[in-house]
Amino acid sequence: MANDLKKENWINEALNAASGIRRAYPAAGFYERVIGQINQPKDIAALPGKHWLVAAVLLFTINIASIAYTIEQSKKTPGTTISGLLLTEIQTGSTYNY
Amino acid sequence: MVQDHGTAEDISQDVFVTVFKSILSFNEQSSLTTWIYRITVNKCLDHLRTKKRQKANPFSQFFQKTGVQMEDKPGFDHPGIQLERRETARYLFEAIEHLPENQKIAFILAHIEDLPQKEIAETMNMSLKAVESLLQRAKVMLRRKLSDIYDRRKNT
Repeated sequence: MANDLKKENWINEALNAASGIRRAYPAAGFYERVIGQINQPKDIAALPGKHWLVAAVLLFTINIASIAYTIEQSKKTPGTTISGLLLTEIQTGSTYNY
Repeated sequence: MVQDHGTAEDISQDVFVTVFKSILSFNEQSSLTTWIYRITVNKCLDHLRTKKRQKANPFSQFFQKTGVQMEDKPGFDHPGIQLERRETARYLFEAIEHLPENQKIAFILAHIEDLPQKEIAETMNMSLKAVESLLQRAKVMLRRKLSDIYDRRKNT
């Protein structure tokens, strides 16, 4: 019983801990930084190097996988060439809305 | 709301820049303060959602140094809290962190920013009744979470 009361008091104390809170003030140089950012000329956001690296690796892997798949397909169907298969893929398989 | 000094300052900076750039689109339907609060709340939510997405992303470790800060800051200290209340306030902020988004915003605006409920309703684009209900639910959830924290402290 006493423990419950103690717990209840602690919870109430914690809930009221934020009352009378003072507003936080910006650090020195804050407004200068804001003005600097406003005056900054617009430029295209550059992606960090790691992002480019991952994109390149992904693109490379997809390309290799698709070439391997096409070669595999050409082996399964005798008489067809890789370029022929690729051409058919482009003509019929594309779902892009150009 | 973001419980990190550096992030809070970055967001404040962003808010000022947005206010400067979109001041002409301010249509005076609400007060300027409410408008600025709304921008701030939206920026904080954007940040928290990005952080959440990055946490769920399996590549998050890889991008950790280049993306938004992803680590939680346990034991956050608000600079405006009185010294003798710091310890308990720390637990309160820990509990606030677990509230659902809307309840968190309502609670912070009401009890930390000391805004009247009418202004909270305008900032959150909600009815006064909805804000009242959010605050009520937030308090119930906070009590539950603080009770867990109390038990955890007692057991350690």
